[in-house]
Amino acid sequence: MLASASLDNTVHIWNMRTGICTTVLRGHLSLVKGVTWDPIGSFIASQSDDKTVIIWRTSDWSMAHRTVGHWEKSLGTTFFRRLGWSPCGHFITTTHGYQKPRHSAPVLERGEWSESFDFLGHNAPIIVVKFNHSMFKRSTFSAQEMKRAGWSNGSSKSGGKDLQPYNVIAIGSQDRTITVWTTASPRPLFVAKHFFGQSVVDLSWSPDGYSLFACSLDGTVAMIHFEPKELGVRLTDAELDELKKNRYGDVRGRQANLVESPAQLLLETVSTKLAGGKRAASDVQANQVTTKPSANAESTAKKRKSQVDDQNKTDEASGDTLSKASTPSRVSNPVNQKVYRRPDGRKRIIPEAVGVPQQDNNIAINEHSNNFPPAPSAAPSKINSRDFPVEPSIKEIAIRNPDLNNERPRITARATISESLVIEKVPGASARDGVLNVEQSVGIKGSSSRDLLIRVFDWKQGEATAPVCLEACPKEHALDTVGVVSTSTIKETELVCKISGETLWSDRIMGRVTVLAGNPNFWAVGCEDGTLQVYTKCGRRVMPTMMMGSAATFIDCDDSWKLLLVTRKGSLYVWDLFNRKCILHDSLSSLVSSDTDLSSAVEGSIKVISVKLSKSGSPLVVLATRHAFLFDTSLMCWLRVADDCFPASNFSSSWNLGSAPCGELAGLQVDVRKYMARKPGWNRIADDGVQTRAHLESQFASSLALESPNEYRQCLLAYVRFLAREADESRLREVCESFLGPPTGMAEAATSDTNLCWDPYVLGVKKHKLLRNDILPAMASNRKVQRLLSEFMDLLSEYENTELAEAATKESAPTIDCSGVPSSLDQMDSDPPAVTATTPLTIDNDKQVSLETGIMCEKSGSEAQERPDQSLRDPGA
Amino acid sequence: MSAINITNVSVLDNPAPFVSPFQFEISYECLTSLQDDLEWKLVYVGSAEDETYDQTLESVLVGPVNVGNYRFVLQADPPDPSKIQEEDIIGVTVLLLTCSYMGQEFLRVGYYVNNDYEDEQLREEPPTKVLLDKVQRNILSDKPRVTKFPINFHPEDEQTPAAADPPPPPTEQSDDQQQADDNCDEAQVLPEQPPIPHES
Repeated sequence: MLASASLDNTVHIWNMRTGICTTVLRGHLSLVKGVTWDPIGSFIASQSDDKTVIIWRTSDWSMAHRTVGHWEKSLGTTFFRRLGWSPCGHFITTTHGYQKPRHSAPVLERGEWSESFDFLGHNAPIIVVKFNHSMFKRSTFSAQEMKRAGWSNGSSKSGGKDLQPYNVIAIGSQDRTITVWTTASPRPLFVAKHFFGQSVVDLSWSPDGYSLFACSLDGTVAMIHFEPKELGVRLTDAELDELKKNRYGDVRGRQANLVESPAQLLLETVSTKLAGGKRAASDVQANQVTTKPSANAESTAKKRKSQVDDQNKTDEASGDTLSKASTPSRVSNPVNQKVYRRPDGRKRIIPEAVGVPQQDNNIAINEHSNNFPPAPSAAPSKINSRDFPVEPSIKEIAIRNPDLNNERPRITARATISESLVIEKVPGASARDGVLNVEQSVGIKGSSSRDLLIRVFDWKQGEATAPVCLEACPKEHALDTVGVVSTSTIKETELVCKISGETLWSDRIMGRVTVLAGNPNFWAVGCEDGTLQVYTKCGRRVMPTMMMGSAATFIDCDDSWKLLLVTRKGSLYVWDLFNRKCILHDSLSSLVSSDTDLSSAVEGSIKVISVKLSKSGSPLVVLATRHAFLFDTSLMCWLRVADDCFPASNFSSSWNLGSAPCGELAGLQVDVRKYMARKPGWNRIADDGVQTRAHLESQFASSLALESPNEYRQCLLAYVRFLAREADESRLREVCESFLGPPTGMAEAATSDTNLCWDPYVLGVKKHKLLRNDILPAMASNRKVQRLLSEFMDLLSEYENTELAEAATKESAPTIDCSGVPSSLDQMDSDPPAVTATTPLTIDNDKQVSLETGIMCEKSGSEAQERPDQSLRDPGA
Repeated sequence: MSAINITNVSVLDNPAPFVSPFQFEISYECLTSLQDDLEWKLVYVGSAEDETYDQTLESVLVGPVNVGNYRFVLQADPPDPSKIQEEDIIGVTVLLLTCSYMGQEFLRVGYYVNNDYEDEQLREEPPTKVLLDKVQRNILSDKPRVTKFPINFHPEDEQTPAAADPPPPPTEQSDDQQQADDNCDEAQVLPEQPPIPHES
């Protein structure tokens, strides 16, 4: 366990084995500047700028006592308020007290938590106190010596007291002095002045107890060594333990939350393994979705195998599996580097930036694109990775923008890369009519001669097919019309469809082409004058020119026949070209009003970065603020799936940490964060837990709306873990119940009336499986909710028993036992989500069933006691 | 104070056949921006006695060098066995990964490499003619020797280039620090990480 005090007014408690934050202690009203553990392990004390000291219980992390005292009169601020707990557990010496006219170190006594006495004498605020880890006792020899030396003025009176063990404490202050005291004497044992030029900031005792290290703001460290005759004789650890045991009883027996059922322990091990295995799993994921083949692509498969091997090994080895498990996973992130040859033939690598804001990377690339000829190849790939972070490389759309080769200032070049797809929608003069004009901004406006190129990989015709390219080149024929006042030009665009250099077909259309889209089934070409031309694969104009009224600005298609189009005026269409049906016709105008902060910049306008079809086939709009909106066809309205409403959420940074994008939602979220990071000023908002929960809940719902099963699972897990940590039983119960479905008895009855039928699957994953594999192990991380956990364990196994009976005639039901998780988890995570959803893990079935019955047997005893208890607690169930 | 600190080197694809390419994933941090690229070199020591048998397997430039943490994969061809003496192929040798800036080497990571037959029987009775395709290469990646040389990263700032000075005694570093760095990085990958302040 590690406790960390933070400027966000909280103390975080960390589990060092898993690295997961166990709990957050909220209660201080200002910056927390010191924290100390009770050597007995029952409490933790923290001191804050709000001039209080809070004692927390470690059993349930509740506040045991808030002490106000001599700190109230303290003036000024210090960097630290490093309080200390005596090794005997009886005293807490705090810092930065003030008792007129002296600065003091008030001492609190255990139990009452009231001030018993103060260490007085420093001329400036006390920054740090540090108890020696050991206690000391005076040997008869040294006591005599001391008497002779005349040191022990206070203590020599009571001879019997001499044999009592005492604490030794060092105090460091802003007045640049260190004092060392013993609790047996009212005067300091030792005062060190003139050591430092500036304030003392920290002190530390050596493990043997006879050396003291002190460091100061002047940049120096002092080491003070004591002789046994000065401090006394150190108590051995055994003696100290004995002392503690006499005073507080046996420490080992007082573990706060005892396990009530063996299943709890089982699930706890699973949940710790889950934490380790999870990351490796997501890395495997990352391997699968990388769109850019990196230099080590060929070895990915091999690596993955070795990684899985490692994973298995670490799972077998209990204990600190974490460090081992994560080493291979870190290695296996594909490195996103760019390699090319310089003109002089030397190889040059542009490394992947790790842990720096993305825009730095951007600038770096732009720099190089201005200086070196291979820019065009680098630049479009940048666009690719930004806009299609998750497309499984079925189609790759590249936009060649000739502007990049020009000598442009760096800033502009960057704007072109990141904002070339930005359109600006401004209400025209007749804004009252609701007519919206879309104006294109920088990147597109300036470029009059613009080539568009898309490439479509047709996987159906075999692996080796070269991509089919559709290119649109504007051709300007100057008409030499002699005698006419102005020389007019006809704008024509030539469309050429090529496959590996060979022209398949070509066509010419009037006007400038603004957008292109295509897939193995059709091509769509949108023009500036608001026309849309649809071609078949071979270039036949399959429909008469469609009139959109205004120029198409975004176009996207899925792999079959769906085509999405957004016009300048903000209309959105989705067609099914096979059935020649309009699936959806809506306007982006509803996004304008919802985005108030943007409209302050330009009244009633939105900047759109991209519009495309999400993997689930719904239109997905990303605005310049990186807010992402998804159109839900059943609700017929826009849903905001990614936003920046939760800057203080504990999880807002979690997506960013995986270096490779791991899913659709994550990609959007990371974009939002990158955008936010670009804005100056990071306002420090104290998080009260509510925002984190709201954030997790909305992420959870968004991933469901995006139909991204992997992220759904991830969000669910994070949410349940959070709830478990906060011990939010009512919410946990709700989540579990929604995954459990209606009670078994009623299930058969419910099947007859179909109006409220419970769907046992979510995004193709069985809900019971999620409950058993993810939710329950995640809940096991906090023993406070173990009653709830065991209740649902029982319910779930009841369900599965009836299910098994029902499914006996049908195929074998995919039941997964919790104890089988380590092996099945690997399998699950290394498989693509779709496969996970459908294939029952039959290999493990035999073992699981037997193990499960094992649990049931062990539990049956405790169940009998549990039952009445449960009914009391939850009369509704 | 070095402008570049190496934070981690992972030897990928190890152990591997003798004839397969080397792969190193190198992470480094840059504290001050540098104008020129970094040059990373991989040198295979063909013979312990004679430097002329050293083979530079790969030399790449890495840049632009801006402040931040970076990583890349250095891939290099295997050593040319024809340039190594027959008797030196099997056995322990050294692989050097060096980094230099403007021709001045400031970092050197040395690895012991053990080349041996994978097959038990061949190991017992090695054939007179080396069977290259049966030789397994094992880089002792957990025992790197890191040596740092202080160089002048900004020669234009100071008039006396440090390269003219005799190289001071190299400072040997154990891999403990690397391990520690590893651990730091791992902590950040955790899904339940509290907010890390983003100074923008």
